[in-house]
Amino acid sequence: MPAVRVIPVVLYDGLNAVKTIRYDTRRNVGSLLNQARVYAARDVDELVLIDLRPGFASDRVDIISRFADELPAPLTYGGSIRSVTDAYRALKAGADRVIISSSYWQAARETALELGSQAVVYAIDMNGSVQRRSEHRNLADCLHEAVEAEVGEVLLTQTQNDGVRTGYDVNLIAAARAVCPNLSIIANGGCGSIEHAVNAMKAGASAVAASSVFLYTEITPRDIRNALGKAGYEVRP
Amino acid sequence: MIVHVVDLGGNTRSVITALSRLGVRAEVTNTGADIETAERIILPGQVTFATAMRVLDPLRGAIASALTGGAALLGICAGMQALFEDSEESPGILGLGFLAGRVTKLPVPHFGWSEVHFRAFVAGMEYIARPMRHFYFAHGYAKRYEGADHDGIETVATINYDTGTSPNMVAAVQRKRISGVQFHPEKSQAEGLKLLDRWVRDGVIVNE
Repeated sequence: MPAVRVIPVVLYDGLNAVKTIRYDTRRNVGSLLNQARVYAARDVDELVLIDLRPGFASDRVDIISRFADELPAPLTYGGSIRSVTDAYRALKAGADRVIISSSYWQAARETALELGSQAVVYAIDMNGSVQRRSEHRNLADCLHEAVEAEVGEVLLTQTQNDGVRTGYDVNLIAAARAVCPNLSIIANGGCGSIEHAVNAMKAGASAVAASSVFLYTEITPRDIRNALGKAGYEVRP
Repeated sequence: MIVHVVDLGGNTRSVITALSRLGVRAEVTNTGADIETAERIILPGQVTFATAMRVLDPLRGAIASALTGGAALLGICAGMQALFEDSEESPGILGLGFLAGRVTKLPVPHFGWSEVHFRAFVAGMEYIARPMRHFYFAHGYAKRYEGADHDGIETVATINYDTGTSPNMVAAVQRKRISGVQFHPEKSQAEGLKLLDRWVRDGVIVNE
């Protein structure tokens, strides 16, 4: 099995790197490329870049390239990927995989077929126990669709925990693991401490993504990696 | 020294960027005349076997001439798979055939950082600092490792893919000046860059 990854998430609003709270309030956290440089220097396992602007704007490809050029590590890009063509452009620009929202199942399915399962991360955004924006759908619905689309991995976010650093939604992670024993799941939303990351792994996550904890505390991705190593998980040294 | 990177249709940019980090000049080319006279040729990955071979098929002669002239060839990911005879991914399509055997489908795609075990007899890995290192992988097909006795392909590194303790997937190969890595050195942080640097300088990833 590959090592457990600790994945910082960088959000971009078109001008600066930002951090959201519950997918809403945004705070400016500095220059985008500087974030890439800092994380590159910190020897991260992987980085997620999310462009929050609506629509696959023409300068997006350029942003991906400039960001990827700073990073000798895998880059996962998300933000308005709605088709295989969008996905292909993002990969060509320097991303290693794309995040496709569960609202765009067809795009996820086609991209997995065309560019390979490992190129697709399927984003499931939960608001409590229902899917954000489609409240008639629950976690199991979304996960079954992920399996059907043959995506490589799921990015599972509890949006109520986004930016508040009170811990991952471990019940959500455990529920997802119970539905899909073999699916690779990246836990996201809520990480505020090293223990939170360890708890997410114990609940059944395959990898952990986080943002605020790296922006507003002294904790680095390596600190979390080291703690996971001590807890018995395989991590990069 | 200029490294010629063949554009197979995938992410050539990451390879070029990694080389420029090392201060190495790289040129993207799909032209036989460039490749014939090249000293270092890289086949990057992130494409299907068929897509890679569509580009490489017309370049067979040029690559062979370059190798005869002393060039070094490095295949990365799908670029390494193209060194073999064929692949389950694209039945009926012939690979470059420099190495014996067939690339087969993995039960689940392999994604992430895995510990690569360089074979004990391999000298010259001191630059990697330790015989085992994590490198970044992203692929759905692979060359299975069947053990040293059945290994006619000069496997120099393996990983324990779906078994805990025994090597069962080829991570790196080398036959004279033909090398291949299943992982992505251009995305494997400092260790990956060291491996690329070594290959650019010496034309091999490990000592023969």
